[in-house]
Amino acid sequence: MSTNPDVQAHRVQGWSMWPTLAEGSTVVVLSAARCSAVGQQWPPEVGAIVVARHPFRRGLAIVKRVAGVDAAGRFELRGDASIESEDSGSLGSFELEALVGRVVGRMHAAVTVT
Amino acid sequence: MKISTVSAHCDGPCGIYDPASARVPAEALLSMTHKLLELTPPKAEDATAHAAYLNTFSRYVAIKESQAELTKNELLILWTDYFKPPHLEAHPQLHDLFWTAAKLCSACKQEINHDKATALLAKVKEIHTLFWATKGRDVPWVTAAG
Repeated sequence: MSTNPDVQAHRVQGWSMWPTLAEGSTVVVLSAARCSAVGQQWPPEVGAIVVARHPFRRGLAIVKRVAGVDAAGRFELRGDASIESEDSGSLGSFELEALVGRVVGRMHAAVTVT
Repeated sequence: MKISTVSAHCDGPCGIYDPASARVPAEALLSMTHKLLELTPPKAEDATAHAAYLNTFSRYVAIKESQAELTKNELLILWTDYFKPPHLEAHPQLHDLFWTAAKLCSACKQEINHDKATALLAKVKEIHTLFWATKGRDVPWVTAAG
């Protein structure tokens, strides 16, 4: 899987996508190009969970849900834990080019909390 | 298989939390409570001594107030920023523990009360134990006062 840039596994850090995604869970992400090839909607619709490049922090990828698309085609991304999520509320909306892929499944959904 | 990470962070995260930041002012609060209880007022007719006494007493109270406030603030940061819903599921006593501790902070401001200051430090110790359990780490409880 790691050799295929179109299908990637990513481990979730943080709790902003709770209760959908717990910290430590692993999601399967299809690249934008791959989504089109297999019939997954791209650009993503409202409600889709996507991976995007953080606008200010080099090399950081974030996972959020598409909450809206404005008239200019920019994406509002929000965490499911809406009252404590660093997302479009503070980062602004995202260009389509900043979205790198779509979450299509979870490989591991166990929550281990001691 | 190489698995990269994606961030679902909640704020501008430093990610650095430690209940020690509440433990230190809780200890200071207990110490000032002891010092206040040990103060002995001078004879009322000695104006200079009386002024010095009131000055000392006032300063001790001011420090006690500020340390109680600081303890409360540090506890609230831990409670509202660090702990997440799964922690509450694993530790159902979490909310009551923090609520009681925060109320003890207020009570320790209102009174000069050894028992309540001691109870607060005990609650901070419980929070310390719970906090490090969520990280799967066994961190010993140490106090500055020994």
